[in-house]
Amino acid sequence: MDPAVPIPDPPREYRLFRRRLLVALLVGGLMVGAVVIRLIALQLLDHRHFDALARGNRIRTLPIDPPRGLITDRHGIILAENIPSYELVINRDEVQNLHRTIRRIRAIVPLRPEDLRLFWQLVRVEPPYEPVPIRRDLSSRAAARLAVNLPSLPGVSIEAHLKRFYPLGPIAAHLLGYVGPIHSRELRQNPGRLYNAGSDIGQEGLELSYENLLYGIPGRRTVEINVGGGLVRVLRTRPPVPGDSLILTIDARLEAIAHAALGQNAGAVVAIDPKTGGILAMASTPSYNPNRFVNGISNADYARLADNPLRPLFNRALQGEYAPASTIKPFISLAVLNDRVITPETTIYCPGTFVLPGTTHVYHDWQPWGHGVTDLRKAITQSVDVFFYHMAVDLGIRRLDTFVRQFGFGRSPPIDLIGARAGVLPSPAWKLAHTGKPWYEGDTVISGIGEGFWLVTPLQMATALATLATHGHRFRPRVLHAILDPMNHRIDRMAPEAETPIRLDAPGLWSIVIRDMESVIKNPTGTAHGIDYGLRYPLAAKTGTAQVSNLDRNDFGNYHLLPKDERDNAIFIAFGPIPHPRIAVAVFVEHGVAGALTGAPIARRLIDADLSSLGLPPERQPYASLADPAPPATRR
Amino acid sequence: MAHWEGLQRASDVASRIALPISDASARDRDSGSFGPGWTGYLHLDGILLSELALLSLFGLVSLYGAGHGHFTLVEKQLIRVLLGFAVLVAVAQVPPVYYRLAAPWFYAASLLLLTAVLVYGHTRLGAQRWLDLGFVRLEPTELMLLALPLMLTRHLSAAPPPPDWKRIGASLILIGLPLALILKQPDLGSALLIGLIGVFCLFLSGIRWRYLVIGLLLVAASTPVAWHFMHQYQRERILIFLNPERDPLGAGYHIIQSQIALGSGGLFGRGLLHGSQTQLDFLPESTTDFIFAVIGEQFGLLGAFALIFLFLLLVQRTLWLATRMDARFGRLWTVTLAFIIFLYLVVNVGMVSGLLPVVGEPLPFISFGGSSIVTLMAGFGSIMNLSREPRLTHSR
Repeated sequence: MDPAVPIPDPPREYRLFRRRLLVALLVGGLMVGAVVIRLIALQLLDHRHFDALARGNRIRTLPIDPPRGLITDRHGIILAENIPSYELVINRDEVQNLHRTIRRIRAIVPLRPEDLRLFWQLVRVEPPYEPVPIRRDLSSRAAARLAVNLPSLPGVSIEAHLKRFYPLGPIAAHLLGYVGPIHSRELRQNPGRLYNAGSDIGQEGLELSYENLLYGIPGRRTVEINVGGGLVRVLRTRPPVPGDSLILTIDARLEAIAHAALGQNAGAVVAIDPKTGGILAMASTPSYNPNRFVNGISNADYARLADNPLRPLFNRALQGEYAPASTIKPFISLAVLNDRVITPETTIYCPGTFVLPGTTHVYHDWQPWGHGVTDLRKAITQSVDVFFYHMAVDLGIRRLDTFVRQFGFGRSPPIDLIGARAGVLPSPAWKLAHTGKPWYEGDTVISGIGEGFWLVTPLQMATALATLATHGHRFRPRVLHAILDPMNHRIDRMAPEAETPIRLDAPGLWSIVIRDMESVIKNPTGTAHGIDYGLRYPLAAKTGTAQVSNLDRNDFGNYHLLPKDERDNAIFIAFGPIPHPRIAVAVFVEHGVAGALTGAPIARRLIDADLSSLGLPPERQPYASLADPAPPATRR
Repeated sequence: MAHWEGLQRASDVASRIALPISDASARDRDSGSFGPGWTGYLHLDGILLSELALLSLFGLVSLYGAGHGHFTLVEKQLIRVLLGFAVLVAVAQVPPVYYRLAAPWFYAASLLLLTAVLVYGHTRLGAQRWLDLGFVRLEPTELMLLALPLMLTRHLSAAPPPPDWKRIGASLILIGLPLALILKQPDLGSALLIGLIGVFCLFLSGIRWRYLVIGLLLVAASTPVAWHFMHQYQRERILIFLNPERDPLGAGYHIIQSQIALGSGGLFGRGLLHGSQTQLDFLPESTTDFIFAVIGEQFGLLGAFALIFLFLLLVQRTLWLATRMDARFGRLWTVTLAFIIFLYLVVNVGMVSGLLPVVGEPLPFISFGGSSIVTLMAGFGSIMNLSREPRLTHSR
């Protein structure tokens, strides 16, 4: 060890430290100076040079929109496809004066105010180097007129691309939805930079629900361009990955028949395959032409649709909430049988009115003179209101509620479409939460015939009916049958998703109610006997007529005296053929007077079309593009 | 010598324990921070803390711009920043004696990790730098950038200056071990940084000028030898630095594109999310090493200057704290940390602006990445704590 151990001398040490720090600061200052000078040189002195490099003669990546997946029905009939179309695009980096350029374009082709509004909107959010469309869907004449003028319009170009087309127009419009140009708001969120200005994006229905499958992955083309914006050469291309095609469980023929059968009425039809949960048809009228939306609907057109009192844009099948009226009776019958409130042999005398013990309010039957002695069979066949007033009161709202909830009432169905509503399953808790008033016994009475607070959607009703038809086996309702990958033509089938089945104490109860529903059509006194003529297979059905206006009692005979919007809603549910049901239908017709009158014929047409063409009673025929047959039916 | 060391440590401890309360409040007034409030209570420095927070915020905004306006990176980085601040506060609560005691362990652990990275590390861009620990990807080089100066500071502050040749020799070994391991990865940039930090430590500890000059001459003489041992891509980088147009679409691409980005930004910049170089992905590594080009493109010269100014403020405050310290160790360590920040800044900005070769060093607090932010925050925690050490004298 060094003999001369240095003796600490803090002041001297500190002076040394200060000196060294000073030297370091000097060197550091020089370094910062060099960096600062360099930055000034780059960013101030050579700014023009680098700016030109960044803007001008350089490499650019252009997006290539992926072709959107097709949508077909179960037999391969195309419901949504892509057809070529031309659009006018402005590349602002190469335009001297945007307003002058637009004026010159307007001299050649007319531009709608909506086009310009969307254009300026996109201009605000898009960086200057991104091309922005100004007019979509040019006619070939307009495209040609512009094409000859393009040399005098630098920065303006015509681009061919694919646009969405719905060949069936208003048929299944609500189900399919539509695509439209992406909004600036959506573009800003733009997950993963998938979309570009002018990309189409699903706005409603299936196009919205399955946007992630249908859209695909955009490609990129890296090109070298010169100062004028002209293409010098393509350096590399990453092709887009087309979106997946969807094969639906929908039968386009049934869909068209449902649409036609509803005719001028406002209403909805939902047909479902009880053994898979697959939706066969889902129609809502009045409808609209989705093709108008594809290139951005004009304000006038949109106002016409939005202001129509019949609300054509509203999807009644998913979102229309109606009182189920008498169509709820089969479900209540199951409840009372299961809870042993009655047996199938129990009879009740129906004088035509019902009064709660200890009160004075009179509840009427639809038939003023009553039905006399009534058992369950007769109660369902003739839709005896008084019988079900008794049932509801004897069962109590709580038990009624718990039992019927199992069929999916009061919650939105787990369908693969966005926007299905939940309806209302009346309960004391619900009433207190939504009206602030306690539950009265009278509320229970009218709940027994599906009036009062009850609200169901057509989809809910069809799903519940399908559950009844399969003796409690429940399947998640769905529209998507299979996904077709266009790259390798592989088909990915969606297996039916079974949910926990409803179990009754005695399995035989299902058949009892179903047989009673059969006599709604078969029995000459049945409310829907009118559609029995020529029926070649056993159907189970139930009619329903929901009061709309506050009239004291139904007055079918004189409905033509009432203004249209005070007539009752018509509801009709049916499924068949009975031993092995293949289709369950719920029909809702607004102001259709009576379920038997307007609803039943629509259901008959639909079921006839589905069953008769196939021949009875084999399995459903193979799906169009699939080799294997439909999944094996649920056992009885 | 051991005797001296022991005595000094004892006196440090004694003075810390025997601190009169009135003296503590005097020190708080003296250090010019927010006074004896919560920062004083937590051994923190309010000004330094706000400068760090401001820098981190600047970094998050830049990441938002570099990440095409998505919050994914920003969110991840925010978590790291918050973790960093937590570590900072935690480190500031440790009695300062432990920094010196922990130094050898920290150094040894970093050395071990550096060895591990050579064995198990993940290769990225031709170099093994990452250690995947399952939950976090660790870059041991970042740890070493703090562990080495800490160890050196401890070693060099054990005796009064100037260090004798034995002490210098031991220091050179301390520097040489990690240097060799990092060169083996190979990571030329970090190795140079480590070397520079080591030399700076020696310089600040009062090494005689003649040793310094001899050392520099030796390094200059060995450059051709080093060239011989360099990897092809490292040679390429240096050649590209000398002439970027050698390969405009290949190795020179980084420098050209980042200069275009900076240059096209001009005085005021092209605006957040409106820089074509960044948004069209012309700028490589825009969220990490080249994030300064993103700032220059989007916020222009003013934005770039603002960031540099913020960094210099940070360095200034750190140095100011160092001049208020009595203990040799604390002083040396604090100035070295300021130097590390400064070096990172100059090397990164120099690289992005084409003043230096592309060495692949991040911009601390701004670049996306966790290891550097957490280790540096720990360093700042320690110096804040050291700055709260009692002063022995007030007159100088």
